[in-house]
Amino acid sequence: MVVKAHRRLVPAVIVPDVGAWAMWGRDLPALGFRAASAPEHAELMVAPARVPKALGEAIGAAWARMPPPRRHIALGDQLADGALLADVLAEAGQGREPDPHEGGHGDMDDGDMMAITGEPSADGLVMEAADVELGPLSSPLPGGLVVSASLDGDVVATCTVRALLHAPASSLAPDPLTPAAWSAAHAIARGESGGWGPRLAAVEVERALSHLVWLWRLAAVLGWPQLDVEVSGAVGAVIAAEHDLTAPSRRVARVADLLDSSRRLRSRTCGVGIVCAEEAERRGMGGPNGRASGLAVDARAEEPCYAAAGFEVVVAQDGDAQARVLVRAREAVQALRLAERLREEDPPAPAQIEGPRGCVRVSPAPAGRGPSRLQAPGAAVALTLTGERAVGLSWSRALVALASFDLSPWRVES
Amino acid sequence: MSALTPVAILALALAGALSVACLEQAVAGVAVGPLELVRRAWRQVDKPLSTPRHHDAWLFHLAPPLLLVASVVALAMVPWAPGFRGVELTTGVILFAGALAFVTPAVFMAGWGGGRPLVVLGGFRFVALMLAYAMPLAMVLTAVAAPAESLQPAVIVDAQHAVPTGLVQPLAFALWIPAAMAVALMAPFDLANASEELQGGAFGQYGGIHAGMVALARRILVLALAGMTAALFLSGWHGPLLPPAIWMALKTLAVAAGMLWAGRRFPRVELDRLLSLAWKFAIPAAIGAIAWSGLVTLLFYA
Repeated sequence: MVVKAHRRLVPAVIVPDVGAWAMWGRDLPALGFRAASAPEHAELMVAPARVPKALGEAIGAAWARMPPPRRHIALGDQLADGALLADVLAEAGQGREPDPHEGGHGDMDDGDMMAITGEPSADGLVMEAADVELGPLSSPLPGGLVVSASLDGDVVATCTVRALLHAPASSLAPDPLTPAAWSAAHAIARGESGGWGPRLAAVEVERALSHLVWLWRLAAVLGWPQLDVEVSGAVGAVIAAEHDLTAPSRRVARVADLLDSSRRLRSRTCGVGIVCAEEAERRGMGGPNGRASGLAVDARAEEPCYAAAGFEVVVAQDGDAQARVLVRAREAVQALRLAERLREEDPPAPAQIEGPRGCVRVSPAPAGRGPSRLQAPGAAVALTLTGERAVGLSWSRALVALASFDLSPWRVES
Repeated sequence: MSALTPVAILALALAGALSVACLEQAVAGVAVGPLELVRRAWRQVDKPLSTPRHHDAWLFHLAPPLLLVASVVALAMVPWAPGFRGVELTTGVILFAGALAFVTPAVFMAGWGGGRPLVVLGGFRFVALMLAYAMPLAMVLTAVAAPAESLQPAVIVDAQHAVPTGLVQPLAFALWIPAAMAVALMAPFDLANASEELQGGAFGQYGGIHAGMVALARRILVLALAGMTAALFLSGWHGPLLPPAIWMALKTLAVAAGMLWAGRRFPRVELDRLLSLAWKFAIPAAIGAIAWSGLVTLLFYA
């Protein structure tokens, strides 16, 4: 056990969440911030200078719940579109104080509404129903994702998952959490032939980071401090690595080892949120979720440069939360290895890009005018499926199922 | 019991809570000095109280003091050294269990008073858990008391001068540890205050001195349970060479460190799993532990 002197981490409301900042290259724990368990315990609000409009109301509600003396800082301008944080907070200060018993949340009309209703608890006991809402901020799920559920006792009777955020049509990356993958997809659409080694390496590093950030959230949902510490160290190492990926590779391998042999992981994730191969194929589920259900769907499998770098599709058969954990953990290890190989080479342009959550496509606009068409097949399916899989589970299992799908809070056309 | 005993117990509660807080940080791999912890605690207490507007606000306000009183009463029952046996009652073990029983209403009141559905769920989780685990806890105490033929903690310590009960009654010891951790709201049994799952958990909405009281009470509970574990199962102050009080302190710290370490190593256990374990395994096993204790008492102690 390494004991190190530590300065105090300031508890903060983090907009949109710690994981998104990690994807933008900011290691918030290393900067001295941690996510507060509730806005009541936060001293600070950390946000981009411009915040998405869909989060405005939630930010105001969280700000109202923070005890004085409260402060806010704008860390950077990652999101070009949106309202200025200072304006949002000033507006929140003038308006009525939000009722603490209403779960503060974003605009209800914005977002894909996907209501799924299922049978209530299997034991047949009649319980008092309670409506709960998790997100879009201060939840273990990505900031911008809202889960509305009605509970029958502690069993989820209905569950709706909505992605609130939507990038403007003019932006290059419709999902700002995976900028490298989208920029590579744009480069394919532009027909660029050079510089693919570093570009694909950046996509692979982004994949490793994205999978780790997802695992970080899952560690919070599982209430597993050891995993949280290991993943947090690995995330920090990947962010800090400039060229040499040896140190991050070692840390990521340690995380994968911890998960691979863990009965502790199995006890919470085995058999949770099963999607069988047949259903995954029928509904067009792609990315790591599809691969965890036994489908060998991966755009990289067709590319000679990946084959030369020793790429093999990682597949698991069970289709449950545990399979999704193991697939992503192995892919993170593999991604850093691929990044090291690809960086040195100068391969031809690939036909498609496999992003961290599945294939991403950019089709040039017809007749060369107007914005290009941006697609992420399977993204909307994941939202619907996730809601369905949570129904009938106890709240803690439902959260594990919800967290295991790695949903993005940014909506992209499917 | 002298007139100074209550003062000594309160001083021990404060110093012990600080040691447990330091231990928590050390187990997490972070070195933080006691002065820094006091400074952080002051920062917390210095903040304004938060109050839910509807629902039963008085329950919300009453829960932290109740938790604090329950934890201090439990601590008062622990015998620390031959010369400092806490509040010495012939039924000390029963009062210890009684004080722990008041943790349940305190957590439920905090959850109910918080008013948010998921926070209320936290309170209900704890009631379900304690309904299941109160029985094995009390049965294990009976099993441990039998060889000493007394419910007085100090007498039970003295009955272990040759062999610690933990060795003689391993089943009772194995049942006691998880149940004790669950009462003290310790991970991985911290279902009521699972902050990520329950939007802060049963105690998530407290601010200012309320939050300070909850944090203090939880650490005193850990200290009381670790101390009682050392006294009832690990022969308390008995040990070679070192003075009795040092032995007791070392054993208590070792138990507390072990429990905190386990909390970091394991993911939170699911409620369903814990409940079925309690009703289907722990209660029958506790009956077995009592039977075993009776046999051992008849053969070796009587």
